[in-house]
Amino acid sequence: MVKCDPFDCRRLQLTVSVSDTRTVNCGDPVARFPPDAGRSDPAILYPVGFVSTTENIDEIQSAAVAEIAAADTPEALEAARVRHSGRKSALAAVLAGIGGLPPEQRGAVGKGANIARQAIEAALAERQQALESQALSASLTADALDVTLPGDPVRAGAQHIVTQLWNEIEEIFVGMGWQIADGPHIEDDFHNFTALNIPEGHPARAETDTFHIAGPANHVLRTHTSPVQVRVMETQEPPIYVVCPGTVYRREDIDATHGAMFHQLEGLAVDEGLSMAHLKGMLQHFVRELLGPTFEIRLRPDYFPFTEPSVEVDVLWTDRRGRSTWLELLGAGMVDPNVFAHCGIDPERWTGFAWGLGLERVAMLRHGVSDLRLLFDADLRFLDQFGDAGSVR
Amino acid sequence: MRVPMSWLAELVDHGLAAEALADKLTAAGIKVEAIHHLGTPDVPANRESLLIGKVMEAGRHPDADKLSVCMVEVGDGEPRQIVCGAPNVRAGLTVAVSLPGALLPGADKPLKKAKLRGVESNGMILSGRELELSDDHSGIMELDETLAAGTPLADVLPLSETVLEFELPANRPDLLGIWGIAREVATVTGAQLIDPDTTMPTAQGDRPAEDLLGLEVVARDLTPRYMATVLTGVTMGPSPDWMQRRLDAAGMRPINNVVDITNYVMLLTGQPLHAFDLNKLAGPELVVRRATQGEIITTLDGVERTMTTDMLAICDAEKPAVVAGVFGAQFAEVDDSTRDIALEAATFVGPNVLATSWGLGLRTESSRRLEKGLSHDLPPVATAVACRLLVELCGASLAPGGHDVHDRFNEAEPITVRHARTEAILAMDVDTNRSADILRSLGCDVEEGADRHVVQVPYWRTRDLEREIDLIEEIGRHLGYDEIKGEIPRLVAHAKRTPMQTVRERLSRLAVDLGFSEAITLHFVPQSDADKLQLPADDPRRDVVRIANPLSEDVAVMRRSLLPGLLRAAARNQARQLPAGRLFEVGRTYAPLADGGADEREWIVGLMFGQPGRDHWRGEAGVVDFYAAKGVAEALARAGHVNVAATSSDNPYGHPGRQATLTVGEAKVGWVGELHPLVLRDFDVKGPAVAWGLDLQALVDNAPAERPLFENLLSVPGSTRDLALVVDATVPAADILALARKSGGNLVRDVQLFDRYQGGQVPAGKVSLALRFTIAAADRTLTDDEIAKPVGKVADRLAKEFGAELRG
Repeated sequence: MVKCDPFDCRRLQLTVSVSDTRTVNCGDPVARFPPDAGRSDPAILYPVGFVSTTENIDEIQSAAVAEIAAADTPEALEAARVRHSGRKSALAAVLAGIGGLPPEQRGAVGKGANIARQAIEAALAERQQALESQALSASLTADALDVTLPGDPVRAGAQHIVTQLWNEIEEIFVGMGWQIADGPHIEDDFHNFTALNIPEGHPARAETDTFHIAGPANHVLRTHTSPVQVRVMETQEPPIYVVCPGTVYRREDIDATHGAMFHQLEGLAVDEGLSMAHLKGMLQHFVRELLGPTFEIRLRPDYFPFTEPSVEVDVLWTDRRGRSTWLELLGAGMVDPNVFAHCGIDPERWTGFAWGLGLERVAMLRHGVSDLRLLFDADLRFLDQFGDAGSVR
Repeated sequence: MRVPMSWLAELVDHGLAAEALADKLTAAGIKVEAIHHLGTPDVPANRESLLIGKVMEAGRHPDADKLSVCMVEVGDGEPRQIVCGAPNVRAGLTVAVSLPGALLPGADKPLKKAKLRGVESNGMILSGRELELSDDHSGIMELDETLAAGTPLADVLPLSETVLEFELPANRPDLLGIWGIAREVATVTGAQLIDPDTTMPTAQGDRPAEDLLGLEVVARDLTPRYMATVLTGVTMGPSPDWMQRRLDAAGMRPINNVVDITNYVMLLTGQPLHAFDLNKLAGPELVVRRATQGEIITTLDGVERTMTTDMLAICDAEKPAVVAGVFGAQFAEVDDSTRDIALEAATFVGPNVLATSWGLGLRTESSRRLEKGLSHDLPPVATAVACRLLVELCGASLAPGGHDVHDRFNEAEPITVRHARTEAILAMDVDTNRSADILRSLGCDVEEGADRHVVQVPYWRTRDLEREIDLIEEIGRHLGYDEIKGEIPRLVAHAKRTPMQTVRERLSRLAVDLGFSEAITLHFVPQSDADKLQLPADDPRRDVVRIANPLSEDVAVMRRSLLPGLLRAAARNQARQLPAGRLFEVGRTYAPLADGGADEREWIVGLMFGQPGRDHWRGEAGVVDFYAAKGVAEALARAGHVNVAATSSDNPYGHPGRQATLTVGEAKVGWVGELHPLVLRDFDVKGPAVAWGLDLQALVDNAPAERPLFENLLSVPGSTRDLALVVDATVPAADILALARKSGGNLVRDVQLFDRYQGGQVPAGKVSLALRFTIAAADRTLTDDEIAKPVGKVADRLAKEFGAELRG
C-alpha cells in the first residue's frame, strides 16, 4: 500500500475526478511512487475501493468516451486511445486488479469492465472514422477545380454538308432495299447522251453545255448521273431499284448558284406495273423521310429527254421562320421507252420511273447557304460550322 | 418568253387574272416564272383620279412664261385649276388628267395638290411618257375630242400591262410564239382560241417576186424550206404605238415599222423572219450557201464576225447578208431609206443553227427558235401574217408569187393511244371523251375508238408528239397530276452497300473523328500542278486527261492527285488568318487510258498544315510531323481492316527522308509524308505540312476475306517481358520488330516498340530501342523458362542479323 497524491496519480485523476487526497490501491504490487527510473511506464494506480465497484467502471467508461468524443485531431485521438484502451489504462488496471478482489465481486467487475472496454473501442472506431471522413472531405474540398475550364482538346473535324446529305439519302433508300451504284465520271457519248434519248443535235445537248475530253474518243465529263442508270440497266435484269449519287459536270460559269461541278443523286425503278402513282408515292415518302413528315410535294409537268411523262417535283418548303413556299426540288418522270430500247429492256413489259436531285441545292436550302462557291472553297470557318454539334471549335 | 396579257387576250378570251392563269398554266407544265406589272399601277384610286378632261381655258401664268394656268373640266361640272408646262396646251383640247390621289407610273406616293410659282395646281395634264404609253414628252397628249370628260383613262387608254414570263420546256418551240401559248391557255381554260388571219393579202403589180429577186438555195441539206417574198413601196417610219408597246412589253426594242413587224410576227407565231432592203442586195438575189472559210460579216451590232464552212449564210450575189437564222448584216439593213423589201421565212437544221450560234458566241431571239428545228409548215403562215401587216401598216404592195424552195415533206403518221396503257401509266381513271377533248384542244385530229384513239398531230407539234407515250403525257398533264394517288412500290430488299461504299463512308467518318474537316475541291485543275509537285519531265503522272473546252487554264485537266486541291485550300485558309488546320477529301483521280477513257481511282487524302500554336490551357498542341500523319493513316487503314507497313519512298513532292509508301503485303495502298519545301513554296503553304493518302480500292482489295476467328487467350494470363538493345541508327525499326515477331515463336503474341533513345550514354550513330513482348499460350500458364526462352531467342537473332547489343 502506498499513498499517492493526486498529482502523481494524474492519469487516475482524469478518470475518476478525485479532488482530494485518497489512499489508493495500487495495481502493481511492486510499484513505487514516484516511479523509479528503471521503469519506463508510470505505475498503474487506482483508488482504494474503486476497483471493487461497477459504478466506478461506468465512470471510467463515460470519462473515456467523453474524451474520445472531444478528440478533434488524429493525434488527440491517438493519445486518448493510449490512455483509455492501452495497457496502462484505468480499465486495464481494473482488469489486472480483478484477481485481487473477493471472488464474489470478480464476476460482476469483470463483466462490467469488458462492456466498458467494448464501448471504449467502439467510441474510438467511430471517432476514428469521423476524423478520417472529416479529413477526406477537407482534402477533397481543397482539391476543387474550376469546372468551367475547357476540357482536354479532343477535336473532331466536320463532314461536308453535301456528304452529310448524300449519306442521309442513301440511308433512306438502302433502308428500303435499293442498291447504290456509281459509274465513271469520264463517260462516253452513248451512255451520257444517246442512250438517254438525247441524240446528236438534240436541244438538251445544247442546254447542258458539256465538257468534252480532248482526244478522238468523244468522251465527256458526265453531265448527270443518269449514265449510271443506263449501265445498271445494261448489266442487270429488272426488277431494278437503284440510287446513283455522284459528281457531275456542266460547262457553266461559276457563280453563286451555278457550278461547273456539283453532285446529283438519281434514282431508277424498273419493274412490272410501275406507274406515275409509284413515282409520286415514292418521292412523297422520300421527301418526308428527308425533310419531315409534314412536307408536301406536288408534281408539275416538265420536259426531260429521258423520261415521258416528265415532272418537276416541288416541295412546300417551310423555312425556320415558318414561311412556306413551293420550291423546285427535283426532276422526275416515267422512263422513256426509247431509253429502255437502248438498254435492251422491253417497254411493253417493264415500266419504270426515275428522278434526280442536286445535292448542293438541297444542302444550301437546309443550311441557309446562299453562295454555292462556299461549298467548294474548303474554308475551315465554313466547314467547321457543320460538325456533329454545330461549331466544333 | 414574255407574253403581254393584253396580246394574249386577243387570241383567247380566257377571262382570268394573271395570277390565276399563271397557276393553271404552271400546273399544266407551262411554267410561269414571273408576273410583271408595267405602266400605271392598277389601283382603285386611279379609276377616280385618272380621267379624260376638257381644257376650258388656258391662260398665261403671271410669273412664268412657259407655264399656263388652265381650267379643266373633268366631268363633275367643277373645272379644276391646273398649271401646265406643255407648249401645246390650249383651250378646247381633250386631254388626260391626273387629279390629286392618282398613283402615276414609277411614283411611290399619290399625286398631291401643288403650288407652281405661287399658283395652285389641282393635278396634272399628262404627256405620253408620264403614263408610259410612249416616249413622247414634247407636250401633252391630244386625245380624241369625242371622249367625254370624266371618263376613266383606263377605259380608253392601255394604261397598264401585265406580262407573263415563261420558262418553257426545251422541246416546245411552238410555245416560243404567243399563239402557241394561247393554244395551251385555251386547253387549260376551255376558252375558244381565236386564230390570227393567215391568208395572204392580195398581190399587186405585174412584176412577180421571182423577177424582182433571184434565189438560189445551194445548201439544201441545211435548209429544209426557204421562202422569200417581195414587197414594194414601203413607207418607212415608226410602227404604231400599240405594236411598240407590245414589243416593248415582250422585251424587244422597237426599231422601225418593217423590222418591228418581223419581230412582232416572230413573237406571235414563233417563226423568225428577216427583212432585207431589196435595193441593197447585189443582184438583187439571195444565195443560201455555206460560208467560205474565214468569210467576214459585219453584223447589225457593228461587230465583224468570222465565219467557217460549217456555218450557213444567206448571201447576195457577192457576200453574206445574214448568218442564217442568227443575225443580219449591216449592209442589207432595212432603214429609213428603204423602199422595197425581201422577206425571208425559212427553216434551217436546228443543230447547225445551234453550232453556228455557239461558234459565234451569238444567241438571238431568232437562233433560239430556229435551233430547235421548226416545223416546215410554219414559214407560209408567218409570211402571210407579216405581209398583211406590211400592207396595212406600211402601205406596202405585195409582189405576186414568191420563192418557196423545199423538198417534198412526209406527212406525219397517225398515232394510236391505247386507253388501257394511258391509265396504266398515269394511274388515273381517264374518261376517253375527256382525253379526246384535250388532244383536240391542242390541235390534234382524234378518231375515237373503243379501246384506243387514233390521233393526227398538228404541224406545230410533229417534233414533240411522235409516240403513244408523248400523247399520254399530254393527256396526263392536262388532267393534272394532283389527281394521282401516291403508292409505294413493294419490292424485295435485295441490295446492300458494296465494300467500296462501306469503306469510303467508314474512313471518311473516321477522318472526321480524327479532327479532319472534309473539303470538296474541283476535279479539274491547272496542268501546272505537275510542276508545282516537282514531278520530273518524264514522270508518267504528267500524263493527264485534258478537257477540250475548259472554262480556263486553271481548270483544264482532270486531277491525278487530291493533294494540289488540298494544298490550295490550305493556302487559302492561311491567307485568311487560319495558320493551321486539318483537311481531307474523298474523291477520284483520273489517269488517261488508251481508249480515251480514264482509270478513275477513289482516294482519301488528308493534309495537316501549319503547326498549331498553344491554344489550350492544359498544354501544347500535338506536333505536326511525319509520325502524326502516319498514325492517322494507320488508324484509317485499320478501319479498312488492314494493317499497313511503311517503307521509305521517293516521291518528288515529299521530303526525301520523311515519306513512306504504305503497303499491305506486296500491295501499295497509300503514302504518307512531309511535303517537300519546294512544293510548299509553289503552293504558297507555310509548313509544316504533312499528308497521308489511301487508295480505297486497294484497301478493299487487300482486306481479309474472312472475319477473325476467336482464340481463347482469356482464361490464362499473358506475361510481358522487356528487352532493351542498342543498334545502328540506320536499321529500320520495322525490320527489328518484324524479326522480333517472326523469330520469337508462336508463344509471342505481340511485340511493341515502347521506347527509342539516342544520345547520352548511347554511342553516336547508335540508337537504343526497348521492346515489350507479350507472351502467352492459349491452353496453359507458362513457366518462367518458357517465357524467357523466346525473348532470348529474339535477342540472339537480333544480335546476329543487326548487330544488336543487349542493354542491362
